[in-house]
Amino acid sequence: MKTAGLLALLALLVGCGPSGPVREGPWPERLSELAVLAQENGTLAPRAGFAYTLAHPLFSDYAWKYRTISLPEGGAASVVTNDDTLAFPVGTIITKTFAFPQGASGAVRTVAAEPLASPSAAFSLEGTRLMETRVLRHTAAGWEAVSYQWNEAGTEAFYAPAGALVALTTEGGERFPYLIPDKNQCAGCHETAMGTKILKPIGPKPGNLAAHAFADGGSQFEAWRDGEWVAAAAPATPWAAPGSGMAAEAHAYLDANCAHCHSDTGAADTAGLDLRITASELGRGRCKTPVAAGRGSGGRAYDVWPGRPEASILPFRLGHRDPGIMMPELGRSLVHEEGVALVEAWISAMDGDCAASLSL
Amino acid sequence: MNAAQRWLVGVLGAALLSACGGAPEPAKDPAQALREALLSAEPGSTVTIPEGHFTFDRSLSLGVNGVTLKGAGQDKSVLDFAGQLAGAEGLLVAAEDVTLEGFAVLDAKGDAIKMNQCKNLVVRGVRTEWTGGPKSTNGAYGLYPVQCDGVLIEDSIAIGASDAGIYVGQSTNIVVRRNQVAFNVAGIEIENSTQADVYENTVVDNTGGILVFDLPDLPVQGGRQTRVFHNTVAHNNTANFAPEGNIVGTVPAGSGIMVNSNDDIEIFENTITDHQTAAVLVVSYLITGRPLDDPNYDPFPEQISIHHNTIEKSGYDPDSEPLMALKTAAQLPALPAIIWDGFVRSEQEGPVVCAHDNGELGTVALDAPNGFAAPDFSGAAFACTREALPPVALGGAE
Repeated sequence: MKTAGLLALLALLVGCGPSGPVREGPWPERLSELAVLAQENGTLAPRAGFAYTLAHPLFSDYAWKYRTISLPEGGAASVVTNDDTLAFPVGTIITKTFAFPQGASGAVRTVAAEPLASPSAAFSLEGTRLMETRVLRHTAAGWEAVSYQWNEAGTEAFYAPAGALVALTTEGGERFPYLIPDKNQCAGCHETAMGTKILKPIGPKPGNLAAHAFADGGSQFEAWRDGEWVAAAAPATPWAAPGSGMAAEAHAYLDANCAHCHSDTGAADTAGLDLRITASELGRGRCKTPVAAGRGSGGRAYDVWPGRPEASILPFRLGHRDPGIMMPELGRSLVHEEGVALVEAWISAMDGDCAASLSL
Repeated sequence: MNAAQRWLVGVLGAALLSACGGAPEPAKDPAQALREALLSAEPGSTVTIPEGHFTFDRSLSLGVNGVTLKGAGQDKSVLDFAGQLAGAEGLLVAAEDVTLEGFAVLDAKGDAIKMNQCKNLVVRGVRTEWTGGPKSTNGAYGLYPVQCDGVLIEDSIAIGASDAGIYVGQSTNIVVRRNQVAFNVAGIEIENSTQADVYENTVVDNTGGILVFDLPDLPVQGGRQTRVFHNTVAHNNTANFAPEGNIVGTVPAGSGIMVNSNDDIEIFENTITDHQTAAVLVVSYLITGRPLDDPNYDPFPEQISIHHNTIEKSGYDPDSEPLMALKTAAQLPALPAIIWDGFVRSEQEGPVVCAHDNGELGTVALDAPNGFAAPDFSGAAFACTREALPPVALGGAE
């Protein structure tokens, strides 16, 4: 750190007001001190950087998500492959704020959010309950991940390395525990090569970014190129558009929701089920018998039985709420009905069959 | 940045925190204190669990290398997950050189203790239990190391798992000894693993006592070289309560020791008493009738040696349609104690299973590949001996 950094800290000390984003060093106790998000006039907006979205997001109990990236000065992300996470420079801070739209009674509404209109679009806090802001920080020692939990008034979020369970109720009267992950649970997903202790972002993959069009009709990935936030000579190949109803849409959904563990290196590589968008149909569980699924098998013989979603394990686990059965293992308490329907439609339309099984 | 600057930054940082004020510190209950101790543990440190009964609504996890997690005893420091709302296991360990000692994990919604990609793991005097008896709604695994190198599980207790009480998967260099394992579907299961010693365990009232399996469609295959010896394996006749679809759901109730498709297995000097199906079963994955698309997988068990076991009471009520049909057709009060299904690879030379000095209860080769047409009770298929396998050397852990 140079003298300028010291002066910045000194300024912080005097005024207790944030200056630039805190890209290194201890995590501040308050999210406002991290200085990446601005809360003013009933909105949340990037204080430094820009907002982004994913065409195929991770499902988190229907929570609305507002995502931002703050790049270090002059820094840009680079493309590894179309289907792998962008490589961000040291100093990058990525945030994801989780909020629920609320009805008058305080019950949360399980409805889809408005799509992000532009990289500078703010997030309206009107009628919402802020839950947490998860932060990924790329320090010189690597990526660090932690969540900040918002107070009930939604005026400040506090460093929450131990996470929390927050009891919520849907408008339909369904009670559910909303999980704010602890630090290890952050790593549980973001350590995409299990055993390396190296975390990385999961969401921002070129194909997923490019599958979203902003309000002006332009591709999000092109906007990144125009903003020189990504150094890429070629455009990204967008993943299948949401709502297209094709197998490719199910593949994108499975990648976004499952592939951080279900890859050749992830925590679930022990199962031999590969749900990356680049996987083969066999890798994706076609006629694959369960190994360590336990109750997760639901009495079904195969992960994916072509033409028979009702006999396939994959939609069973996506459709369950018991922690010992459900997939993903962590990060949701409700069922993503639309996601289950998509996966079932994909399996229904699949050609072929699996053998009926026997035993001794 | 030089040392003085680092110091200055540190001082300023501390001043900053105190000036702006942190979040108020709420009083911590012991469960929350344990969670935070695990999250902030330093490498090489010991985290202690006090005596007491602590309840949790979500998983615990440990991700720091070299940590010892130590309780006051497996009936004194109890971590209770009956009210668990989130997390697929009670305790998840994702770190190397970890020792777990002297505590219990009860009624986890999924697995009790999962240890993923560990090295030099020690589990000593730990209890995992589902307290409502054997039920298909119990979690799958009690003690569950997977993809580990160096595993010692000793003096522990595993009760009630709907898959396996102690399950070591896709690992190498394994010692499982002096444990008490009861009322699980599989008592102890060594799966897709290499070099394991399973000895001096007491394995009773499970569906299958000790299983050594090699299964397809997994990243780690070629399971081999396991010794199962000096165990007490008795009345593992509990009806199979595994959720359907799981491979252990195919294990017949009353299987003492079962080998499925593994190679280089030595089963010796065990006491195997009262099993309604068989004292020792050796089968190929092909017997399950499940499809096999995995070109890297070898479904044939090979070099199996079964000797000097003390076997009593076996095969009197086999929990298997073809075996029951065989017993009826042969008009036997009980099937032989050692059963091999008879699947062999086409290029196989010599016997697959050697069995000798196991008492008077006999053997049968089933001829399963030909629809059980010509079962051989003569013992000819088993008439051979093999050299003893070497013991497992664990390095520092023992």
